[in-house]
Amino acid sequence: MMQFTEIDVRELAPPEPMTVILSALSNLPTGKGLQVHHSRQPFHLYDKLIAAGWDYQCEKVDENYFLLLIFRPQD
Amino acid sequence: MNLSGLSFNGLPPIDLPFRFFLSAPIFMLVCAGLVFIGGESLWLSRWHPLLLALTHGFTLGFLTMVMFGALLQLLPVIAGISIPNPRVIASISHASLVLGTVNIILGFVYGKDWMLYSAIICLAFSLGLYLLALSWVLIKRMSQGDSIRGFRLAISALLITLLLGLILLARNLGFEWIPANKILTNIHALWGLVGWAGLLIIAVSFQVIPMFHVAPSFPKLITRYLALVIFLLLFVFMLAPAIAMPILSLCHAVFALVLLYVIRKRKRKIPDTSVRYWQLAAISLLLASLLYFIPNSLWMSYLPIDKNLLLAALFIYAYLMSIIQGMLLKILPFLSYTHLQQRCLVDFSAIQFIPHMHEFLNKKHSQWLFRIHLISSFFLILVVFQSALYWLFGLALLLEFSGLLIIMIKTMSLYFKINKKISLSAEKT
Repeated sequence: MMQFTEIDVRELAPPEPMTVILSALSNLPTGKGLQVHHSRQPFHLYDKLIAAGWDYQCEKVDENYFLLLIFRPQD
Repeated sequence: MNLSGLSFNGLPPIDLPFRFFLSAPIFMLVCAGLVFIGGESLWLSRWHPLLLALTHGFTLGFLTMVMFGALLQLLPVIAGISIPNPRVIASISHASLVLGTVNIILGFVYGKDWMLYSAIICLAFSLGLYLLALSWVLIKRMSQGDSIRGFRLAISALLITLLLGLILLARNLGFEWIPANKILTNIHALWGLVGWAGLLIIAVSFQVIPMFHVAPSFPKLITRYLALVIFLLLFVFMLAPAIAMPILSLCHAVFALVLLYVIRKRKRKIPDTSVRYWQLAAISLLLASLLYFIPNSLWMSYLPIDKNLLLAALFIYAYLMSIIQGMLLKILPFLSYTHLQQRCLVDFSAIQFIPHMHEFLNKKHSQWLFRIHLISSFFLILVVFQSALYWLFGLALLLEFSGLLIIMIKTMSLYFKINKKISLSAEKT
């Protein structure tokens, strides 16, 4: 089962969530995914993630709470 | 809700919103020129052609210009979808909006028929094209979020404003399809100010305030029903203005109070000029809403000025313009940073070239701009009371919007410089 590094960006103002996600992705060990607790859907990130070879899954947990999983497709 | 695998459009190229943003302060400098040309007499009647030119300079040249540019970027961020063919649609829509606004201003100033014909064609084309593109997005968008619903109502209001405006312009050219010119003008003005600009700002605030300032969400009752109630009241106004206006004022007073409350409850309490703009806007809106309730008889005895002119000045300049300018100062560095940051997803090494977001817009410059905006707002109110002081407002406008233009050019130059640096570095590797 894949392991995920967890980050919470719910209390950060833009563009900090993106900075934190990017920095976490750049430091992610091979084979690991990233689990992001977000206050909204980072829509504009999605196409770029796919273009950069990542896959993602987003679930709405609550009104202002989204759980985003970012991982490599082959994993 | 699982949105895995769905394809979302990315942000449109940054030069598209930039061209809308850059045009806006230039139109305000034209407005400053109108204030000087019009002199004292401009403020004597709201039907003065130069005042009509000035109002359209503010509303089309600044408010609509910035809102069109901002929507290009806001929709992908908050709704995850962009207009189709953004380069073609934004370029044509921008060019014809600029031409249409120039022509309507000149048409009111010089009264030449060909200018008004040209304004009709350009504005119908520009707003029509943009409305079509936005409608395509907002109909297609699966989400029924409160902001998306507000956007739908705002663009419907813009369509009604446009149609009424075209009818009014056609009347100036001798095509009298509908009588009652002044009533129709009031309806056109209200749909434009309260419907298009007001509803869009309300819808945007539901997203932007919690997102950028880590503030609590607006109460559900407000996000779900406020925009709809205002939209319906605008229809009531067309038949029974005396019933609609007090309720409309009350709705805006409630919004202003809730806005102040939400801003106060924000978690991110670092000094931020855009928060000051929101607060100034909310207080001005509250003041305008309360002043409306002063009976006309009392008004005439104690305040021998045009009540409608004062309310319009507060609503257009101190409320709408404050928010739009505050948002501009927030989104200019944000967009520049976000666009550059997205390049790092493909090339992580590019991060070394991106400066801190605050370097895109010096905090002190935005603080100065806010102070000048406070002064220009005060001078505008002063001119409504004492029209001989028009030159003070004209000077403040010149100073404020030259400053905004310079700030924008600096931010945009820095963006293009760094973008080029990243491209050059990518070519080398």
